Amino acid sequence: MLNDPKLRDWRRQVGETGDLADIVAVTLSLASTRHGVSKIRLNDFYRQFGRLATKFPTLIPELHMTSIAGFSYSRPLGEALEEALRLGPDIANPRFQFIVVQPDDGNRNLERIRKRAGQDFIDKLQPVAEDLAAAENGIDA
Amino acid sequence: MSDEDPLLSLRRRVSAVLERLNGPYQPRYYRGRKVIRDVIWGMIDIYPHELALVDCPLFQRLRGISQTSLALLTYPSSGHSRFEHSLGALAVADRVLRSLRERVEISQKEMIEVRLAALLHDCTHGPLSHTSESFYRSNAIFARIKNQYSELFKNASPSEILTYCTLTSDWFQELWMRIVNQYEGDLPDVDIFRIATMIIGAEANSERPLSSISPTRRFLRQLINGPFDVDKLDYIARDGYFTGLSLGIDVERLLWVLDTFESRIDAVDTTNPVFLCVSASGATILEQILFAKMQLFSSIYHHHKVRVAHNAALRLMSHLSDAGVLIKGMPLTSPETFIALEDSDLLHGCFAAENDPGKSNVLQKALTLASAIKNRTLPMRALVLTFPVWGRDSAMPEEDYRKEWANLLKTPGQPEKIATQIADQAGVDRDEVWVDTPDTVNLQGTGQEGLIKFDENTALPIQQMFPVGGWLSAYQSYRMISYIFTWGDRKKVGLAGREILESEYSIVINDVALKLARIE
Repeated sequence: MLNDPKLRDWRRQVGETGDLADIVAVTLSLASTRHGVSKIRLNDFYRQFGRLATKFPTLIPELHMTSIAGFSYSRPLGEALEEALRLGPDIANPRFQFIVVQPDDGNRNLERIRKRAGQDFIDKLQPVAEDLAAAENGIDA
Repeated sequence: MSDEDPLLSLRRRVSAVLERLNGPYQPRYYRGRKVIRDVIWGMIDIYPHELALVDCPLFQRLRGISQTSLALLTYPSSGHSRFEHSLGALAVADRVLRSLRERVEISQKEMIEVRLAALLHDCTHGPLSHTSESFYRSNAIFARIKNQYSELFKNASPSEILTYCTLTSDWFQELWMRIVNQYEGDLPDVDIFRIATMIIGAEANSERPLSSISPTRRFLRQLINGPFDVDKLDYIARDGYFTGLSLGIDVERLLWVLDTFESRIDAVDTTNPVFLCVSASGATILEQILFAKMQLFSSIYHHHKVRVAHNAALRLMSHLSDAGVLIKGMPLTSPETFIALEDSDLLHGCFAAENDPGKSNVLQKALTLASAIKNRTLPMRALVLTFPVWGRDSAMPEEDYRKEWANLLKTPGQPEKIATQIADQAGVDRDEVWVDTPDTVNLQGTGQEGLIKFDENTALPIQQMFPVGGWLSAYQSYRMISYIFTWGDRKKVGLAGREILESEYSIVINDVALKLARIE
């Protein structure tokens, strides 16, 4: 059989929760709407997701992080971000490279993804978003 | 599902296809080097053992595979093949290695390995290049391999996995030993597993640890699979030349500024990774690569005729597969079949269906599509969904509708459902409306991995200096295009599409979507 329904498309980096692009979009949207973190520096985004993948291995798939001259990077995460940019987050202020999700946009993103992936998918990522927001706010999570 | 190791299973199947394709291949003996004249790079110097591989039917097959797939229907002069591109990558590798050798020590064995990796990096590309890859990529074997060998294949595409299996197959190993026995020098030390590891963009090889690439030699791997690898440098120059697009990359300047950078995470640790980089004065070259890639997307890959031809070819392969057609005696349900085929096998093959009336109908659809591609009688645009169309007022487009649309396309089966709804609304045959889902633009890799070196202790990813993320975000918002194509009445389908999007999905689009499709 060509397609095994138990396995997803190989390009989709799948955790228990679903596609990595959706995980990125939902986590950033939750951090914005529920925890007041609407802006995250691109470098911090890679660094934080690398940390979160270790802390929540069942929610975020292996990211294979690498460090280049002190900057964190992951190709699967980079590709997921590119796809996520179509779905919700924006990169604003090109000079400083912030990923931005305004609260109103965040609510709409969550609504769209809820329709497609279900509320359970969003709920599971709540602790990830909380941790991300706490780290961005300088609070020990 | 079989319990056999998926990598071993695919490798065994690949080896069987290679045996079938190439037969008992005896490489010819060459007494010395040869040069091949190339339109892009001038004279390409080729060593005897490389010539023996170029002669091989597996490599010669690349002459029959168009480099830019069906872009040929839009850019008639882009008839160049994967064969020329592979030789071009070798030419670039040769220049880059010579240039780097002035700054860093590279052994003769490493030179041979990098050159071979450049020459062979595309040797398993299937017919119509990435189009056939889009078809077979959903085969479960790739997911199983990626699950089981997640570190080894973390960055590998399906065609790269096939290349890995090919180079590490019994058939290729045997061929290589025959070549090695013909020549003296450093060839016996050359590690084909290490070459295969470079091609898939990995370093640690869990399958064959001795063939791993040390972090201190990471820059060699990056020459083959990295932010400005020899593949990119050749295809940007070559595709630009043959399509007529101006995609200038100043390769001569790049050779001048190319360097390596040791990332000192721990001063005591002797295995600090060494990256490929450019010196600060050469940062412009990395910008050129990023611009060129964006232009390739907007001018070629996302061109409406290229997209519709891509969709037609995917449907053709799907119908041939459903009809149980065997090409060269092999089914299209197996990804290894594609390493034996050329473009003409798909477009000009005389297909025979199984003796099943249900399947002959599917085969007829396949023949219609093959004819449509050959004669360029492809479906036309009925709606063009891009920046100014979102919302009622094209002067004030509403970004949220675009995001709604992107979300819809991401839902499995949804594009097909929308096509059916539009066809029913317009009163045309369901096969006559296609919804196109464009690929995501890929710039992050170059932006984040491309390093600019300021001094021995300082280097920054290009992302830190130029607004790559901003460009990408802007591209997704303003330049990303999705199409609805039809063979039926374009105006009727366009209007039906607009109505269905609003009534069923609350996505509002304006007249510009029809105007961009050249419908008044």
